[in-house]
Amino acid sequence: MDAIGVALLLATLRLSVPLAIAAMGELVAERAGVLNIGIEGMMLAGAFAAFAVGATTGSVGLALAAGMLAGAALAALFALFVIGRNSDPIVCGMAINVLALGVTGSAYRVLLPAGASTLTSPVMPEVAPGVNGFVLVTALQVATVVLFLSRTRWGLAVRAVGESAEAAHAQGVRVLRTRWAATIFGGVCAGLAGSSLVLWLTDTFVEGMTSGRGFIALALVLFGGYRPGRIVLGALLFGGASALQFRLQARGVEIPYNLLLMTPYVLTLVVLTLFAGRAKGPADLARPFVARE
Amino acid sequence: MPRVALRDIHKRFGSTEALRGANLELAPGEIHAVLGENGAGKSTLVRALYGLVRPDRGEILIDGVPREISTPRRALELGIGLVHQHFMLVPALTVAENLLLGEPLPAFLRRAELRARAREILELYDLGLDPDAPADSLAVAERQRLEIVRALARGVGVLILDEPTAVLAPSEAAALLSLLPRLRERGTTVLFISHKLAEITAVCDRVTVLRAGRSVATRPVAGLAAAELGRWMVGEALPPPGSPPAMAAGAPALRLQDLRVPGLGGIDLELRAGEVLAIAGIDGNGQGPLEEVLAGVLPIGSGTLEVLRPPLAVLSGDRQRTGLVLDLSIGENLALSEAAGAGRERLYRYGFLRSSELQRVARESIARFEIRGAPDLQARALSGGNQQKLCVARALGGEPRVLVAVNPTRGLDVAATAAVREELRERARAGAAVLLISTDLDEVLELGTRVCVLFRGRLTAVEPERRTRERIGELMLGLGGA
Amino acid sequence: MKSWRAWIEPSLAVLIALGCAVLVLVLLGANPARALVALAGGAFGDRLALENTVVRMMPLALIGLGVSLAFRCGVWNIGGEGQLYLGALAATALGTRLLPDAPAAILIPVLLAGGALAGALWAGIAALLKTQRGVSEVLSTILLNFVAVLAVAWAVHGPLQELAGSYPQSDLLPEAGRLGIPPGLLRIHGGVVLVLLLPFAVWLLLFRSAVGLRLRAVGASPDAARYAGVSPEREVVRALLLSGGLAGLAGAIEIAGVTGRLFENLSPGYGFTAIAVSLLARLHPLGVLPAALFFAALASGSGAMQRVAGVPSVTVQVIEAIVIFLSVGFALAGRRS
Repeated sequence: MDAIGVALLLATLRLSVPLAIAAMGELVAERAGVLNIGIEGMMLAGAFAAFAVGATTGSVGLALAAGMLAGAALAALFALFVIGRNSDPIVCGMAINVLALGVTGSAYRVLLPAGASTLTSPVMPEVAPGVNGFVLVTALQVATVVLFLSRTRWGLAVRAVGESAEAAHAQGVRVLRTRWAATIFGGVCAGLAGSSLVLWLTDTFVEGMTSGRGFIALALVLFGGYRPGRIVLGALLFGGASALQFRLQARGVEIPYNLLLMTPYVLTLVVLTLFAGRAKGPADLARPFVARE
Repeated sequence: MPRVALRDIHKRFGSTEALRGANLELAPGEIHAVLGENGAGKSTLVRALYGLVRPDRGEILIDGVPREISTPRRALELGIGLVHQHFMLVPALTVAENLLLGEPLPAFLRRAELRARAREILELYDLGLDPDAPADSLAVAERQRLEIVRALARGVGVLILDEPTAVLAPSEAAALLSLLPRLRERGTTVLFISHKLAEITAVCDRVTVLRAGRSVATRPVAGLAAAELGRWMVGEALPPPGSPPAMAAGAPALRLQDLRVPGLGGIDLELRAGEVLAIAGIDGNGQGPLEEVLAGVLPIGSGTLEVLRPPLAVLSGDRQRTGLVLDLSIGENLALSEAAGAGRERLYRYGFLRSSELQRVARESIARFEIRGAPDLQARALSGGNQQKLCVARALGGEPRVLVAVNPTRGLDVAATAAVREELRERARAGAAVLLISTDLDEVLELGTRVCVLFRGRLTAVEPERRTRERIGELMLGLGGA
Repeated sequence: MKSWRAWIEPSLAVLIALGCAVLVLVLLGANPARALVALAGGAFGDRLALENTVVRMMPLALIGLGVSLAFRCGVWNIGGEGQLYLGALAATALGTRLLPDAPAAILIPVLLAGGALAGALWAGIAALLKTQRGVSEVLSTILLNFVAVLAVAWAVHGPLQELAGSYPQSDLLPEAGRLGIPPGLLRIHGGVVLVLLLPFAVWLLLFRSAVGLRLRAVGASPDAARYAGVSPEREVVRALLLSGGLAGLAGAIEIAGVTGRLFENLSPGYGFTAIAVSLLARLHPLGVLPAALFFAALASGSGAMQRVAGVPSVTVQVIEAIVIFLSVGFALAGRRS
């Protein structure tokens, strides 16, 4: 493979990783019946927390932990309303997104008042030549989710709760607890995905830097028909398309820049149009559950 | 000491009192029946015992110890299992996964191990199912058997069967009934919910009768006269049943010819003006698709459906889901059909509402059907009976000449039931053609000028000279050959 | 009786949100009193501030109206932002390229209608995807937002770029295409007439017309609506088209009344804030006006707050999020079976 090909491949990986990590987290939440459209905000919070902690401590480990914690915190807030009070998941997810924008934006200005010199976060080290640590993390995460869902008793509980909360409850499965845990896991993954934007893709934070990646991750879950393998494939496809777009842009190919930027969104819409109707999601997705009449 | 005792259980859902002082005691190792009409509170009582319903009052004792059963998990810990009337398997999971769900499994599951364990249980109980088959591929009787086996495999000592034979074919029901004494031999206490006298006298040791949320008697079954049970079940103070409207050979009003949709296998039917054609049958034999296709919600697969004397109105069998929009007001519910473009321009002019006209129409309906509420009251705030009256008011508002009524009195009290039935009779007398689809045999016999039975998506007419409960019961079970 | 009770819960939500805002301000190390006074001053302090607030209120009210209308039909139009951009794009194309020489009597109605139509068609994509292919409108409208924003960016770098070619922006609309300023205490553009009238029109539509009853029936119970002879699919398409039309109209009004030309980042997230507006208004068409005024005040006062008290203006989004949470969390609005 020539140098350009290698570069393209690497860029594909870099752009796929955040999508894959977030989508796998969302997959677990949705398999438990929780539709979380707040992962965009959770990614953003994760990105900021990783940046803030990374830039001030210089530690990648602490930055990662902070990113995941931030995602988990927002997920807990989301769960409090959606699982705890049966509030509408769409509205609450939107509120999480708005909240994350406001909080990260405010905190960023506090951390870095206008005129202050820029801060940079440390960068995730490579585990092998050319293989960033996040690639390993993603591989581990995907494998964990696959094994978790199909080979553990908690995974069985998650699937049962998402398919029929009532039936699972009647068998003694703790429905609300399972949904809480799955939502928090989704938040942790979103936070991790956000961290990767800071610790790998760039070394700094920009307001609203997730720019819809959380929504694309949501779409990927549908695209992959709720199957981990296909979701990862989808993430690679999207990462590849974005990488190609950057490459074309750099080459000065005569396609307007903004139209190229549209590709991931348009591609997602096209893919949803082709596949969404066919994807059979968990039967109890986004349905509230009341334990006792 | 009783194995299980429920004392003075009360439960209210919104405006309906499901239980008002129910008592039940199960002796160790007996088969105990709970008998009662639809809506007598049987399901609520067992759901309270299984932690699915929170009683407003009363106590539950297990082996003499008062217990709070807040979840099914707790019930299972106390050795109580429930096989629901509507099955509680997770459709997308396999037989093995369903069987072992909720069991104390090891953290990491190995497919082969799961399969082996499931097979072991299935073989122990002589149930030849493929552990890897998805649960939704099973037949009804297989699902039920799987649920029973699942409960037993979890070491349940008290097994509740909630109307287990309602969905079974006769031979399957017989097989299930023969299983019960075997469970008793193993020391399992069985609570058997039914409204079928024959089943109870065949296999049960004792019976508790529920009527209108109260337990009225508990007796040993041996030597008990069926007539006596029946009297307990329905009480003495029934209003004299009206008789079906006299047959007037009116003109054909509705004709179905070889109508087929999923769930209905070729329905032929001719409904005439002035008659009530009553269709009996156990739930799930095609009533749903028949209602939907008549309501125009389900497209016709093949065959024809002709409304010869329009308009046709459907009094839906599920007033909360399809009959009413609960968040809209009484007036808006009455206006909805017209807003949808059916009927005459009465309430709307140029697409805009004539408020005073709607108020007038709503008041008229409220007065005529004795609905307790004002035109602007949300339908959700009405009691079940008043909601049903509103449904009737709406269905009759367009002066239909064909009226399809599905379980029109389900869940209503005696007075509301009598009122709705009289209204249907009155419609028929006034020349409308009424198609009554009902799972209530008394209703069918009381209203139907002609009676048919729906079984597995097919319609069989009951011969006028053999119009008895027994004959219709046979047909409902598919024993129509004779 | 009922009418004053309808005000209590939203007012409480606003008060609690402001209370939370005080907490946030303390956390940020600002003087809350000073910041809030600056915020209020920036929103209502003088005539200029007030005009600024009312001008910002207009797109919020129009889009919020559309969001409410769609919500009433059980549809989530999260795509107000994109529909606004498309409306602005269409109005600009009409005014600067297609009909630059038309008289005001023709051009203004054409601009506004064109903007509304473009917004409606953009929402129509989501409606078609939902009814024909089963794609959730939540996801499709969100994605269409990104596409619309990028389409505008492309347009002002390409086909609609000013003829001088120096900045990524369109030419100014011809004078005949600009909304005039009606006489009155405030110097605000004529779009205000529509903004004050349309809530009443939508109220009439929702609560006094056959179409409105169908929409609300579908929103409350699609099954029961279908039984009553209503086609839920058709109502969903209708609701999304109307909703998108209102957002597109807001975009056209922004161009014709405020900016005079198209450029990137035309909207500071009006389409998203409008969701909060609609929830705070408890999905009521008339409630949209005070709710929009509240959020517009937050937006126009936030600049002053940043200057005077050193609080980042994005902090007001925290207030916005809290209002949304309060609106749904305590069942003020946003109920869906």
